[in-house]
Amino acid sequence: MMTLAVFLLLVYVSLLLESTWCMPCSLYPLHIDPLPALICWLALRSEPVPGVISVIIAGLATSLFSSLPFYLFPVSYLMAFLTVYLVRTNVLELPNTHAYLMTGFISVEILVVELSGSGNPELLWPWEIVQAVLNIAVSPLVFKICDKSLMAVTKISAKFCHEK
Amino acid sequence: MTGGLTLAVMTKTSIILPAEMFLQDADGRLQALLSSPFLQIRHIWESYVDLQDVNEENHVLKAQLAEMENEITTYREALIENRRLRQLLEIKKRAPWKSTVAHVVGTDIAPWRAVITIDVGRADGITPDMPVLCQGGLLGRVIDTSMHYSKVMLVTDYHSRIAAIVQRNRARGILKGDGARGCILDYVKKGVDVQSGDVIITSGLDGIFPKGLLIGKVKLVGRRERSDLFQYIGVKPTGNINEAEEVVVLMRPPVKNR
Repeated sequence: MMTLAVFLLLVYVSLLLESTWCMPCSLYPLHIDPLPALICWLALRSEPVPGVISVIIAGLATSLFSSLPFYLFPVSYLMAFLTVYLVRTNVLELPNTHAYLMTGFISVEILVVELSGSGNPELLWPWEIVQAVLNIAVSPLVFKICDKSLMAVTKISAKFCHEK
Repeated sequence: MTGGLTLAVMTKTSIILPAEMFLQDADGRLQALLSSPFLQIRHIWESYVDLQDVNEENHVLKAQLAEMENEITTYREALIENRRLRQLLEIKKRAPWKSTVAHVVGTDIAPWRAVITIDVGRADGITPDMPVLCQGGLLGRVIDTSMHYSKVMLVTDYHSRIAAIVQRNRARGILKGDGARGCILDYVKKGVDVQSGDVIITSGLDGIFPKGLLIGKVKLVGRRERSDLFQYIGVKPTGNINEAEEVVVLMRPPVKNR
């Protein structure tokens, strides 16, 4: 439950930051996008059903910040989540470096759905590859922030429960 | 008594005077030699004390400078804002319809979409398809509204289509968004004289934009394949598309008044 709360909170914060502060610093059409890394992190740590519900909620929240059709984000995020979850359930232990690479793979997956679905498939090559590499580069930091946040939230809730 | 008298007598004599002078000089040199380290030390000490004062003064001045710089930046920002708002006021005055000013508050999460969010919505009378202007020309049109915010599709968006004409020779075309490259004026037949620098304005034929709004200038007229019927005309929007902070939304009058 904590994992899902942390995931949704970080998704919302990153959406706000991406749609405001990243305005001047995006290198069109590249931009720093922590969402694929967040989805990868969630897929590696959560149960399937709550995870699926969370990524759908995250997708719907994202569509509020975009003019793309509202169903594109939930669909793309769901596919990405299931991909990582599938790998996770079939591989005994996924090292961190492989998790970062998975972020790259799912970035491509997400962009294929979003660009094709929004009528801009001509932008797929080579931009999506560069974006995926950028997302891989960002993922260690995102994973660290997620883990630290989860730890902090768990501690706070444990303290709160103990006091009660 | 006798010795004192003798000395008094001797000082007056010309024999003793050079010796006295020599001794005085020698004393003076010795004094100078002895006092020089002390003077040096005193000088260093005074310099140190001065330096301490200067250091403190430096800190104070630095703080004052930072404050002044901050103040100057504020004034400069106010001046720039004033200039921008004056320009917007001019746009409002010249606008064919009633208009309202809005601030840009966000951008689309999908970077390939040239869509921004502004802080006026249905509560302010904004409806979809209302034209939006910025300093320099047309910015785009409203595509979606909530109660207090609206989404504006910029002229450079890949999905943007505007009926446009070349101001010089009235050649008609459709202005398509082309992302970071600007726009393309499409469907202008080969053979029609279009030159680099020609001004592109809205034609009003699309029923969305009023006629005569400045969109941009032709930056490139290229050749296409021989089989193609139309010219390739690259257009650079004159509006500050990416730097717009305040925009003017033209409020479309009700249909019966149009």
